[in-house]
Amino acid sequence: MAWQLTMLGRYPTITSQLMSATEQTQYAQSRPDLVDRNGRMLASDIRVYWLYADPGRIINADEVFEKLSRVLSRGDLIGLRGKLTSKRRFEWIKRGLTPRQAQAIHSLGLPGLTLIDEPQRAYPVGRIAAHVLGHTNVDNKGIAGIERYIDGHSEIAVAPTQKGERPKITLSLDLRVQHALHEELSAAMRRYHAKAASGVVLDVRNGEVFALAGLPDYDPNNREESLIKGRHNRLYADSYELGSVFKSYAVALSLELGNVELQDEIDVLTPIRIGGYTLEDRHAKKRFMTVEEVFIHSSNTGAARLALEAGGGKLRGFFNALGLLEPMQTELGLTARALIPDPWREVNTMTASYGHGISVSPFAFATAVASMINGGTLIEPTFLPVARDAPQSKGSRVVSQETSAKLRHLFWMTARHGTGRNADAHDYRIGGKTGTAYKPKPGGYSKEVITSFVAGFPMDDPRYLVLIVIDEPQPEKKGGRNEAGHNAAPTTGRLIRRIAPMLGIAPSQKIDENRQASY
Amino acid sequence: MRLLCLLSFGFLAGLIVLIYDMKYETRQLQARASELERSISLETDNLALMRTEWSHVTSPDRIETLAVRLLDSEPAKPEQLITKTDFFTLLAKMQPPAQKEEPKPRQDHIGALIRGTGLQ
Repeated sequence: MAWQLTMLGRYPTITSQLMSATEQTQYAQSRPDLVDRNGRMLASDIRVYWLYADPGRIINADEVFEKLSRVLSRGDLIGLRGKLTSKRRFEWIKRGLTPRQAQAIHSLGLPGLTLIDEPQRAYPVGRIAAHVLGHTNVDNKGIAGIERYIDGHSEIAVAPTQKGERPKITLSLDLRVQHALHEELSAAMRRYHAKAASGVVLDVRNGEVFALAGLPDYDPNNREESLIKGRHNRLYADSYELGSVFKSYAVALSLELGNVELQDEIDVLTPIRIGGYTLEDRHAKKRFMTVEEVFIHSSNTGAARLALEAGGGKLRGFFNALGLLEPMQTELGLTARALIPDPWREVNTMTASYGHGISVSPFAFATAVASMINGGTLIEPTFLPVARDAPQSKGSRVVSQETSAKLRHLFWMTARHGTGRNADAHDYRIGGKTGTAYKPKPGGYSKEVITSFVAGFPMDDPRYLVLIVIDEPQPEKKGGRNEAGHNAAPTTGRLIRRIAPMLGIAPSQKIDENRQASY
Repeated sequence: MRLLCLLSFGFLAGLIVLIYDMKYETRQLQARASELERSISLETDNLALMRTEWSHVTSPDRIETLAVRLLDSEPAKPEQLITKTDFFTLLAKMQPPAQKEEPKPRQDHIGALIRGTGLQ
């Protein structure tokens, strides 16, 4: 004991270390504000009160219990009597009292009770951006999303310039776009009685994520909700077989390798037989389709033929170059690991060409498509703003400029005349591809589907990419259809019509001078 | 010598009074400073609370709900949007009005709506 005291006296640093350790564990830490790219507040600290008791100093536990029960909610009273009569000298009564409750308890004037004020995280926009922001625990430590990221990266916070302000971190999110996405997804959930719906909007040039949402979600102000099953970020943390949207890769690879040109004809009627598995296009109206038609009308046989011609090794290598096979790292952590057939057989090349037998996280998928249509350079998605003067894209090249231009043409044609025509946002020159995939279940595939629509706009010089994924949509009307063209595509179209003006994309229309001049 | 003693004693006494006074004042000022600091931190917290409140009140979903309920406006259609350059081209082509019309009294539709809700 004496030795310890001497040591503490001789090395005062030990004392300060001990003190700071207890402080950190015991008290909540203050966190920087989170704001969107336009400076709208997404998360901030507000002051709340924590109440603790020193049971040794409580004179009449029954009286204290009775008085506290007038102020605290019923749930907080559970176990309270035991705490008040315990032998310990310190018991938390309630963490996170509002200033009003704190004042009420203070004016009860009970000895043995102490109030301390602590910062607590508040999310004024509620659940709109829950999956990006994440949330904190009771000690105000980030345990999910960006909140978790900033705990280890305090250097990105910008110090306040004047008194009364708090340090802040700007995110790449745009609250207006985020809200529009959230709202369109919840409308889609209702309209198509879907199990879940998620979406992302990102900048194809530098990978900035403008919005990301997945329903059902939770309110970060009420963090217990996040524990309910199925409330996680599906777009990011789950991997799915996405279906025909994957044809973009088989077609892009064939174009890139120079195997085919857009107008080359492909046999889509003759079934393909590999390893006891037969693939045929029952809906094919004619024997030959051009590569363009294969993409626009989404022919499985056509895509499979293209992939088989390119070869499994090449297709797999292409997936790898696009970053689909490894988990992707962003500020939100790692995306879900892709599920790839192992060993990769010829039949896998065939099914992968139309997006079956291979599962990837939709977020990684969206990034890969963005990298193909932006001129062909790989982007790294980020939730923090990229400096404007930084080179627009410094990633490696995944396809050539020409292939990228051809793909843009194919996407545009599909949204105009093909399976994506219901998106109906031609004014903003969108291009997109639909995907409908049966959900795997033990021993085969179920009847339920996952539909998706990936779209870029404006397609003549793509700026933004939108991916919408709807889980188990039902036909809107009885007897209707539930393919992507009838749910994911119209949802994407509605979203783009809303967000394009916000993002500064002008509708393309020939000005009718006679009509306009009469205004 | 005696005078010197008296003088220095007087000087000492003066110093004691002066130091006492200064110390007293310093303590007062210190108390005032910590009081001010406390109120600054309180106001900073209040400001943070107000900003959060403001962000909540102006959050897009809230504004949208109110707009749908209270205004007759509709979301802008693509046909209604033109670029700034097009706008000025059209403006240049427009004929100036033949004669100046009497300015109509300005109608405040939104104001009337707010008054109608009885919130004011």
